[in-house]
Amino acid sequence: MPKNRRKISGTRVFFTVWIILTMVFLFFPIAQIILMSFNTSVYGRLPIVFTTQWYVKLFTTSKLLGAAGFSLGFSLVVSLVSAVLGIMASLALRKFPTRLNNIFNTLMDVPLMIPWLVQAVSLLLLFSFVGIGRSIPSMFLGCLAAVMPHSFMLTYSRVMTMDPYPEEAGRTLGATPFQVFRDITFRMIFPAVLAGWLMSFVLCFNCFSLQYYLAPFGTYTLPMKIFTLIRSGSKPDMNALATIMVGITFAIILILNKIGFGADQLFGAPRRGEKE
Amino acid sequence: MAEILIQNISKSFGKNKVLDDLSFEVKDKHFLTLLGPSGCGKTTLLRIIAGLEYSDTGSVIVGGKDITNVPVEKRNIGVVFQNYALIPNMTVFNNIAYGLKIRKVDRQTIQEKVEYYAALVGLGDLQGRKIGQLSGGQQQRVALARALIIEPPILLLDEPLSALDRKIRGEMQYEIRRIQQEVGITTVFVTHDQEEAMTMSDEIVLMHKGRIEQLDTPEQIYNHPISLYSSDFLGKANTLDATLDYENGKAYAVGDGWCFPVVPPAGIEEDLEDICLAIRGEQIEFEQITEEEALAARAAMDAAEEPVPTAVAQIETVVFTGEVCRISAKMGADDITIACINTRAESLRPGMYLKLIVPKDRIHCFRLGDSEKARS
Ligand SMILES: Nc1ncnc2c1ncn2[C@@H]1O[C@H](COP(=O)(O)OP(=O)(O)OP(=O)(O)O)[C@@H](O)[C@H]1O
Ligand SMILES: [Mg+2]
Repeated sequence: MPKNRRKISGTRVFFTVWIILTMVFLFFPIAQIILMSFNTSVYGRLPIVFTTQWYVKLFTTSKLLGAAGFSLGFSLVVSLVSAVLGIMASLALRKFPTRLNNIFNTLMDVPLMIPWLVQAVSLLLLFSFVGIGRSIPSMFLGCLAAVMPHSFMLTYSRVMTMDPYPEEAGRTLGATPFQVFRDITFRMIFPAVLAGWLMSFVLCFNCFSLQYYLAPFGTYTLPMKIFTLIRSGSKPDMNALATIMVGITFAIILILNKIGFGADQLFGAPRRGEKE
Repeated sequence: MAEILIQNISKSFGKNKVLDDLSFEVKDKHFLTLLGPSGCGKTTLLRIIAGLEYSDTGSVIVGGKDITNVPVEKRNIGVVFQNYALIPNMTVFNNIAYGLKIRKVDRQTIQEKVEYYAALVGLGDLQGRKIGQLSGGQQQRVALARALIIEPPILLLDEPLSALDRKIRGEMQYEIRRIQQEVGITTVFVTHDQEEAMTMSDEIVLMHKGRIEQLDTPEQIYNHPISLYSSDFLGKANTLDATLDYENGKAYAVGDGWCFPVVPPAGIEEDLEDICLAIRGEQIEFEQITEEEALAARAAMDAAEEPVPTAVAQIETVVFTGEVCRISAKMGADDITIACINTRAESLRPGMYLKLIVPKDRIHCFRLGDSEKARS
């Protein structure tokens, strides 16, 4: 027996170390950027000499803010449309016969697999053929096509696994289909919709290759701007911007957790000691 | 007036014929129970009445109005689902109030009515709770209050008590019946528990594979089952194979080592036809006899040419189950179970002999077609 116990604690140590290493790997680069954004040295030289000059530069002379604002707005619109389409597709699909359902589902999987680069090139061909070429509408449609499957997948799996009876109960109590959606269905799938929306937002914000191929000349999203700037050397004001973005992200995560939407709620992972 | 008329309802799911040309009536303010084994189509029928499922043929008529094509939300029928179907993101109060909110009732009235119906179903002060924080029994009460609060002329209940333990179940049976009579709602109740069906109903529809086997009051079905299936489903009767034998115009059921005088089933005139008997354990009277008397009776029966009424059994086990005792005995070659109040069985021991007395009208005879139906 004691021997057995030793063995268990051995594996436990192993996994603890493993988890710590993973966390370091995940968070060290972020921490590094935050530190460097406060460092006087342009090339990240140590020791750190504290300064806020990069933040001042970011908000005065830097050209990053405009691109960041555009990216935020653009991603917001795309992700909201993606969330709405995701809900509509999921609810419609639930009513389909199983065969059609499977076919559609598989089709929705395809964009998840195709590399964005390939998708970008083929979309550019298509859009040029249709005549909208590189333009805001092309970029919008392209990014939407890339992120929609994600919000659809999350919403759809929730819709298919959720208990259908509360909705039927709502109908028997006199609610019209629209009232049932507003009062019951939407509230029940809301965590998944929120997760899908966040995911679409982040993906859209990041989908450099699609933006690079489809954006009209003179329009720069943040990733495109950074890409052009980084070729002419390190720019600590980018670190400052990254730090602000990390800060905002953490704030959102904290708020979500506070109002009761932790990762478990959003992505369906079970939380210890809690029943559904 | 809210009587429900079910006319020629049929329903198939693919090739699976779930309901086969059902017709019956639920009288105004009556409590009718759909009783049958799992998968016989009870829920499907209830969903068709509620409008949640469409039948292939037939119509549902409520109070003289054909509602077959009326959408669910316009039917004004209260439904309590098999699994409660409470809305998970709403509090108890909001669940109960939902039907009234949809009807745009003012807040003051909603508040008062929720108070009233919560008290009626015995919910106490749980109105602020979330659904996830309720026990099964409490959820059941919320579901009931939510269906009642819209004051529907018709209430449909789908096995609402199946998840509860025996004690709460008994209480809820009583309460549902009380509320139903107090408010005066025409009710269709679904269960596969025959005891529950008999305690609660004005009428029982006994279903068998999508058809009606028998529709009658609980007493009638229990005392006068029209088929072996009925007798077996309500109250688990003893079933015995026998041969019908006419002698001097009287009918006897002759089994292996026993013989009862019987009223022959309708339509059988022929001698020596195979039949099946159903006898309820508690309708068997008995007296204790000695081994010699038992053997003599058996010998007399075997010696005679014509049937001699003989029913002698040897006790195998005596099982005490509370109010009643169940005596398992061997009558000739067949097993028979006798039920009696436990004081009557105190002196009985395995190996003893009993003479069984069953009034003629307590023995139900069925043609063999019926018995095959019951066994499948
Ligand atoms: N939506 C459906 N699609 C296909 N088959 C169905 C559907 N709903 C019910 N069935 C089938 O219809 C038959 C009757 O089902 P139903 O739910 O009415 O039975 P039940 O009498 O309520 O049984 P239980 O006592 O187990 O609740 C079953 O064989 C079931 O498999
Ligand atoms: Mg059922």
